[in-house]
Amino acid sequence: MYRLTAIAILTVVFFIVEFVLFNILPGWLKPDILLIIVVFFNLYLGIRYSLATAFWAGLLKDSLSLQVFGLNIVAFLFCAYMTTFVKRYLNYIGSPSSRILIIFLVSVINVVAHYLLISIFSNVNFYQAAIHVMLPEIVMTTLAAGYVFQILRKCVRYFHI
Amino acid sequence: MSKNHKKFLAYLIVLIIPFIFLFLRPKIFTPLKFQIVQGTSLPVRILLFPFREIRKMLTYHRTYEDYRRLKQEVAILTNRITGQEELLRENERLRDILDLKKGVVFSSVTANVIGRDPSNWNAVIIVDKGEADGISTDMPVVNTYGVVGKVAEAGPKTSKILLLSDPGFSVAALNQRTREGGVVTGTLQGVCRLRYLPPDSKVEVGDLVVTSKLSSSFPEGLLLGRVIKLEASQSSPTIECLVQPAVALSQLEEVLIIQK
Repeated sequence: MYRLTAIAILTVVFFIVEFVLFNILPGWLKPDILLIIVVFFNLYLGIRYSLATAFWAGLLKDSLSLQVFGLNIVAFLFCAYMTTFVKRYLNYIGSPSSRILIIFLVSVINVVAHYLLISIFSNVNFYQAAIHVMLPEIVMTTLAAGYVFQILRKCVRYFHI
Repeated sequence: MSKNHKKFLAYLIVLIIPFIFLFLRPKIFTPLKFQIVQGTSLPVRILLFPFREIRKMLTYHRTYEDYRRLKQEVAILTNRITGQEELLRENERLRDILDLKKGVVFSSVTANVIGRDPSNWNAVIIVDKGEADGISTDMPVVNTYGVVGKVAEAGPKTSKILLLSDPGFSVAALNQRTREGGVVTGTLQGVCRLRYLPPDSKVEVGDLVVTSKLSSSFPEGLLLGRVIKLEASQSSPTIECLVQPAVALSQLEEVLIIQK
């Protein structure tokens, strides 16, 4: 129970950080920090905690969004599952580049899942989405992953999660 | 059933249940959504405060120039209004004689922007006024430069504003110069698109686009933006234009919500 509470608090804190970053950083510089947290807890604590993080992170994101409620929850849950699948083949303990590669693949999966889910409910121009949303999000999330992982590792040690 | 199968089934259910909820669109989550918005808005505002103050200081010169320009404009407009008062009175008298319906009078509420929705797929801002302040969905939102968007969801104390540049936004509009009508919609590019102009349209780059009286939720004549590019539509024999919103949507701090 302590772990779940600590994860929930950490997710809220990083959600607020993401919210603030979105308001001060221009255009392209917008990483999906919550996705990095979902992947992090999958790699460090396993699928169950990753699913809890995904649900909580999705709920927070959906609350602020105008998209159909639950869209972020489903996308993050799917990413949590896919991380479990991807890490079987790519995760090498102690290798930062393998973690970055996992983040890259999962963020590709996340934007594609998002695009497909949004397409069910409304028309989205694929070209515009690819250039203006998907590509920036994948690049920035991958670039931010290393730093966010370091902070998360410190938090996990500090709070004994 | 083996332990592995049970585990797999449990995980599958965890994914399927939220997926089903997507299609049911239950409204029971709406109060929860606004409680989360309310809960996160205070720390966000505190954290954003220094950044906004720094931005204000950095844009001091531009703000001062704007202030001087607006002061001059106010003086000119005040003179013009004084001159037109007589005409207004005459107009009123004639309206009374003709027994025409009087124009709709609008009241408005000023709202502070809490922050933007942290998603690249949407262009949404959250403001600190809600149903308690008389805000309801579909109310137009403007600032001194022009149209900002419209109220998409109103909670008790906060509201979500769908910005002009969101793909889900659309409003009946017209070219101010040629009076040709069309529909302005948002795109993921951060600019808008004026659609359904006739193929023989006289539209030119630089033309101003304003709201049309065909719009059900926006008053007529509000500035939407300026035409920056012309394109032939790929789906229909019409002309489309890219429109740069008149409002700097990424730098909003205060907005005006128009109540009918």
